[in-house]
Amino acid sequence: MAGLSRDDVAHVAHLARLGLSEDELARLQGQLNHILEQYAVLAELDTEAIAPTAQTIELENILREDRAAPSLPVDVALAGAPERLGDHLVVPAILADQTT
Amino acid sequence: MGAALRAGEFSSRELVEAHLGLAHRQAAALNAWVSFEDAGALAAADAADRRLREARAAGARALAALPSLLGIPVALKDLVVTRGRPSTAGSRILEGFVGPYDAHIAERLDAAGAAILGKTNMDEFAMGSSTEHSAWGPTSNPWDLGRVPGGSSGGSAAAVAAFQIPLAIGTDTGGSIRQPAALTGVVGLRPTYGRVSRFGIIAFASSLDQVGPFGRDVRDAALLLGAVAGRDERDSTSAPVAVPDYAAALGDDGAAADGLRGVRLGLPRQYFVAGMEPGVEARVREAVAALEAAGAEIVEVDLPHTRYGLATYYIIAPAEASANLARYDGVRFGFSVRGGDVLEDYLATRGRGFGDEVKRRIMLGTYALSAGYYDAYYIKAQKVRTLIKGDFDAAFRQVDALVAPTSPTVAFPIGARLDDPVAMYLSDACTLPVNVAGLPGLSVPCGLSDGLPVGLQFIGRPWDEDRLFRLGRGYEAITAEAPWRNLEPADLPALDDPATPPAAGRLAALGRGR
Repeated sequence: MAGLSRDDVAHVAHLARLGLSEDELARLQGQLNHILEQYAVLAELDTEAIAPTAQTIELENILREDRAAPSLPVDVALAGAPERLGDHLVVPAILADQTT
Repeated sequence: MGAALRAGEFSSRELVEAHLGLAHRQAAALNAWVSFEDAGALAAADAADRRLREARAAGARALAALPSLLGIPVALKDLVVTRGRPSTAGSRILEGFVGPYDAHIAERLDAAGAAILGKTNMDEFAMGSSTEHSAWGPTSNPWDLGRVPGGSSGGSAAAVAAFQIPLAIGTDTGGSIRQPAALTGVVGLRPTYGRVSRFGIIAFASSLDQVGPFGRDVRDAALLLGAVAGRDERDSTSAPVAVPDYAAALGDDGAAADGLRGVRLGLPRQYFVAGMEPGVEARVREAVAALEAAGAEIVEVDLPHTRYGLATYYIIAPAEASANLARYDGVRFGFSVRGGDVLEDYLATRGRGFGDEVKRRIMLGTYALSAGYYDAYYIKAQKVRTLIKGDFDAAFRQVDALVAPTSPTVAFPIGARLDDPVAMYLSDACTLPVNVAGLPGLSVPCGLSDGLPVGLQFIGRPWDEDRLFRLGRGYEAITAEAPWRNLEPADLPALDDPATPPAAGRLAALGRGR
């Protein structure tokens, strides 16, 4: 498998919403390629007929009564917010200029 | 300690003050703690002392009915959320975060009467094997302050080893309880996946994470697991499986040693890996010989897919982490940087809030889950996971439990593996297949190599924590007279020396500050 280019690394960083410096991108390119080489060992195994395991204890669905219970009060839930207006979180506008 | 409290030999307040005093005095030299909760701990101690006084007045039956950890100091890893208290998970991105509610295990510890002294240092979001990846600087190993305590629960392990706390909570996703327990010479158990509720535990990799105990001996660890284990409706993966009274089943030395007779123990050939230090292998083989001499039957077994464990783990864990860590966006809580628009806010907050190792794992996970690579990496790893689990299932048809090294090496020098993530990941070669298969694993000290502790690992069938505790207790019993049992960590005096430089500066001193 061909290695990751610097642009590939930048694309993954964008998908992950990580703002990385040029230095970090360069360092990660080397490290990620080295780690991906280690992954190649898995290709030795024929897993065509093997079912994937997502969880190990084979729990079946666990059901419970749908009862209303007290939830976190708004003030507690918002206590850690960086910026707050009343009962709302403040974020920048998502759509284009909304100020007019 | 519990018996002395009940007898009134000392009070819980005296016990808590003594531990807080030591932990505060050595805080800089060891850097095992991220935050202290003196007021809360002392209030819990005073409440415990009142109950102890009343029970002593009411007689033996009232004393026996007291909860298991009444008045005992306990430390929490810095990823256990508690109401009104900070939890950072070792990350700048959670700097200033105050818990809005209590984790299930915090409620359980409260009900058991424990006094929580504070939160312990850890690799950021539990990603690491050395506690060097903490935003708050590395923790030192009490056996040699120039070395790591292992990780990610290195603060909990180091605090227990340095006698700053008798009991501590950790989490184990790939070895993060057992490996630091081994490297600091204490006891640590990773329970079966689903044994302990993770409600209120800051998540790393949700199909692998488990919460477990550290103690200085097996009985202490068993007592702590008993206090926190069991089904909780708020964690749908916590299993409705009965929890035995672990500690009550552990007898005195004679009974514990007798219990080893006739036990069939598997020795996995593949766990004596390349790169294992000869001194570590020697201690483990001596321990196995001692178990055999005590009447255990040792059977060599094969776990043929062991060599694929590392790659499997390092696909599954980062993939799950990249999803779990998407919630740190600077909008609702924690560290927040404004970059102009929403996207720039995310990039700046996450770019500056996360440390190098966390970014590396988010990148790996995002890549492994991205379009076009999902089948090649993530599904492939989940299929190999089936094979690894199958190895254990086959072994457990032959034997009652497995015995193996915990870590291939003793504690390594601070900074030694930071430049080579793959070398760091090898620290967990003998522990992470156990997580991949969802099994319980116990690490107990089995002597020293070059003056540094070596850990012996017992691996069990699902829900077999009680058997692991009996095996560990049996091993303690047959080695009770071993000279190394009486040795204390060599650098305890240095922790009390005001001239000892602070641990948090030890990476910076190597030119490796973050």
